[in-house]
Amino acid sequence: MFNLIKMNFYRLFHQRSFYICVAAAALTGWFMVFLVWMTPKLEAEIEARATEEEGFIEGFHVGYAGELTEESAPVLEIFNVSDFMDEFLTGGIGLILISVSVPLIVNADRKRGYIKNLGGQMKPRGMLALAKLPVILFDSAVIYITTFLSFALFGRIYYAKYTLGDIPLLCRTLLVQMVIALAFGALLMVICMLTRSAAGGILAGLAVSMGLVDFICAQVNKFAVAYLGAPMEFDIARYSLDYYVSEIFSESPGSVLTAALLVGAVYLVLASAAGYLLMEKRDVV
Amino acid sequence: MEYLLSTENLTKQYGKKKAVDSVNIHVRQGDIYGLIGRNGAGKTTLMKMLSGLAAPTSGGFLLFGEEGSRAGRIMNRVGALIEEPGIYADMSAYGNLHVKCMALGVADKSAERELLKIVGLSDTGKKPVGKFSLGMKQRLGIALALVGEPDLVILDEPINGLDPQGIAEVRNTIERLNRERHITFIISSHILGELSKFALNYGIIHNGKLLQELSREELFEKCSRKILLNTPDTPAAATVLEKLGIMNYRVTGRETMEIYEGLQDTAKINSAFVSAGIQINGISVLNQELEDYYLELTK
Repeated sequence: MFNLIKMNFYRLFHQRSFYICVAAAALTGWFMVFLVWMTPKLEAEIEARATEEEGFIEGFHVGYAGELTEESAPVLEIFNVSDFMDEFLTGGIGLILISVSVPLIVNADRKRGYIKNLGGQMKPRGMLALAKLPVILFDSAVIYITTFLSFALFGRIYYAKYTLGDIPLLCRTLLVQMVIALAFGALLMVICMLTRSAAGGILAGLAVSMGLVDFICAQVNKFAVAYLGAPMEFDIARYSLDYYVSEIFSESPGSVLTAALLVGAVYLVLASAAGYLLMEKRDVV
Repeated sequence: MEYLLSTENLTKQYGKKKAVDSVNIHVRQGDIYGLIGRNGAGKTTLMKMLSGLAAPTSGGFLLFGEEGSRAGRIMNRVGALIEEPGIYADMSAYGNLHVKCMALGVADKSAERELLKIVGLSDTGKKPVGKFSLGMKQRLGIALALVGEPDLVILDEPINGLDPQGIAEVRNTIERLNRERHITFIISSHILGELSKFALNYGIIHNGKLLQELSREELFEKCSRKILLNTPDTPAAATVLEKLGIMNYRVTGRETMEIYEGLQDTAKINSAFVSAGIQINGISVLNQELEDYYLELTK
């Protein structure tokens, strides 16, 4: 098992897609900082021009600035890295990056690589699936840490007043989010194995990140209340991973963190078991 | 006879179709066993089962004296290259080998270099495998199958798509490994002529069934030469042949016969016909190609 994990890390560090995903995380960090820094400046510029040219505002209203005149973006006085991380995590942007990077890591090996070479010699074969989990965890951690560093760096560049925020609190948030990310990554690995395709995993991951589960959960809730006699406050979404992604931030109460850890652990165990069995029972093609 | 590998009614079924149907093959230690069959005959499926990549639907096999599908620890003595090698195109040949060496826990630090030397890829350096020729990729596939010093190597169509030079390189590599390291090989191919140059025993598989299992000598004997005789008096010619003690012949047409014995004594047979006053319009020795034999068998 240790050899397999070692090999997976060797492979990860020699995989271009890993570095592309890390670069994407860094770019995301920069883009978020830039957007927040730039928006008030743009609004101020637009307002200035609007007063200069009366006709301009009319044309502009047709486009996108309608809402800006009603509620302008606040100017950030002090850049807080922890706040940005909270936004990044709860907004599901981290999940989107993981949705792309994990299937690329696991499926490359699933379809062409070492599983075909090793599948016969490795007994039990299910170990091949389990050995991926540390790599998924590492990959997710690198993405989150890179984004954090990107926030820290570009926050320093764009803003005069700057703070890292409450670091112990952020570490606690990150830890719980990492458990959820690992469970989510394990789930994507199983989907990749089932569909024998990275595209299947990416698509499923993006669908979850973009709220498809919310929609499905809402329908299930309605069905459960209408036909199964479930109480009105019943919400199946509380048992989904993406629910806790949006609920875990620096200010989250301990009970939510515990629930998130529990749900994450259950998903992780189930996905690992499914991955193990799939690898064990299914023929290698 | 003690076999390194023997299968017992090995069967693999996909839906209603039996890809491999009750196959019994026998491979000796140090053998180069050639699996002959058309595309879709069931060779790859059989090899996948033997290399532990697919589970049999029924039947089983004995490998190194142990039940193959159950005894996991013996499967690490089996290296396999099934269809195209599972390689990372963006990594070098060394990198690809290193990945497998790490996974199998190969402690010898020079194993990768040695394997590259064996298959003649020592000078590829950091060149990504994606830029390799087909022959080079196949040789890398063989090197991957050799990681961990397996006793049995299963190679599925290792010469498929190679040019004559590539085929010769692969063939020489296999023969050398068999001779020097006593590695047993099971090799499938539909290029029968090439396979016949180095395989020692053969299994002919068709529509999932094993039609025949035979040694190189037996195969050559079966495919080997026959005397084609053209005479207007085949009954008289048959009498002469029987007087000479040649019973293995066949009348194939009104004026044609095929003689499968006494191939070294064509002159003697010819003079016996002349002495008996039989008109001979033509007598020639013919080598049957392996392909012809195979086609005849699978008709």
